[in-house]
Amino acid sequence: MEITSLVKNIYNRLIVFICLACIFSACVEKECITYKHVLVGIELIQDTSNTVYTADSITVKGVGSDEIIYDNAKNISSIYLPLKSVSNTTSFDIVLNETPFVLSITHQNIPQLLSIECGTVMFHKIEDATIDGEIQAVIQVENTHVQNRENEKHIYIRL
Amino acid sequence: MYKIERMKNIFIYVCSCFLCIVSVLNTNAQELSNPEKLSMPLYQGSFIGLNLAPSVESFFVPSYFSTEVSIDVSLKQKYFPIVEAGIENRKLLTSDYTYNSSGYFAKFGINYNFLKTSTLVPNNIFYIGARYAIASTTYELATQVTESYWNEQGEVSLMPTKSLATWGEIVLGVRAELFPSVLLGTSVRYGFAPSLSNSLLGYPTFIPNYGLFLPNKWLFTYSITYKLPF
Repeated sequence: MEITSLVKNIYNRLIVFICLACIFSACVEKECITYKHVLVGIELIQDTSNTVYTADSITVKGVGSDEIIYDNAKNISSIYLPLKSVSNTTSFDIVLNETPFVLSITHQNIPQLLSIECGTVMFHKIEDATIDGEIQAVIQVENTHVQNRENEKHIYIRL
Repeated sequence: MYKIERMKNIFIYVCSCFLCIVSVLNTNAQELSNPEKLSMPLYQGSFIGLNLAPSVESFFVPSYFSTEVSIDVSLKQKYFPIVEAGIENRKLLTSDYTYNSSGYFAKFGINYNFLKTSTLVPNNIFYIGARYAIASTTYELATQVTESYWNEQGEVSLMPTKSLATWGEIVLGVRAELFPSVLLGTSVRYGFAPSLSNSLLGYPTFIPNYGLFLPNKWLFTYSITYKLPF
């Protein structure tokens, strides 16, 4: 009698666990909820005071593209730009407070599968960044890894 | 160096958690101990098991193959040191990307049986346990670039890349004898603190046995076990 009771008890527990496990298994998220944008974050820094510099206006366009990314944006201290996924060099035409210059970034492209629901994104490893133009500034690569992290800064432009 | 230190910390954390739980439970168990238990030999048998979930999934999903076996030993029907190991291969093929991975894993730990010791149904257990898991995987990815600000077209590939991962698990489970020497079991597991040995920019999307590389997750097993005749 005691054996039957104990075995019955065990099987009851087993069934409860299987049911709970099935319920938990069914709760798998099927939609992509991951942040998918991979953008290089560039921050303007006032070199003398080492504080964030707020530009009166900034316009940014990719070299070779017709689409403007920032169109005369006002009071801005950081910008987020897309890098090329196939080519290893990306250049941007930037007009900062009416001073034009070209920012060029060389990088490796590393594909990453986020999940079946989210698909792939392209990570980048920054190798070098240069400025060409009339602006008096120093460029500093602070973080070489460009991933799908929101508001992360990678390059400082010291003015 | 930091990664090795972190793996060590995870291992210590898992062991500490388990020892805390066991010491609390053991206090209660000692109060309930009987002469039969005190005279019981240490070795109470060995068990070999197969996790059914990955095998069933492998049967129905052609792009996935995984198998997992376990070996555990009963010590006084209370403590069950266990080793679980297996392999896992995936091949995902879509119009946008191809992802291939193959790897293997091993988990080391111990279970503690809540049930009273018994000579009548000695193989039935209801347990809590802990695991330290390690997995190695080699993965590669080729993706088509179609939509972007730059209107680029082309394929970008990641060459085969090897990665080593570790994580910890807390386990709650039950195992009962269905026929003589044949047992069925299930467990729910909380996997936590996955860590990769290298600091590459990319990472394996799926870690063998752990699945998606998330900070923590629930895992489930459904197993069939055979008690070895010695």
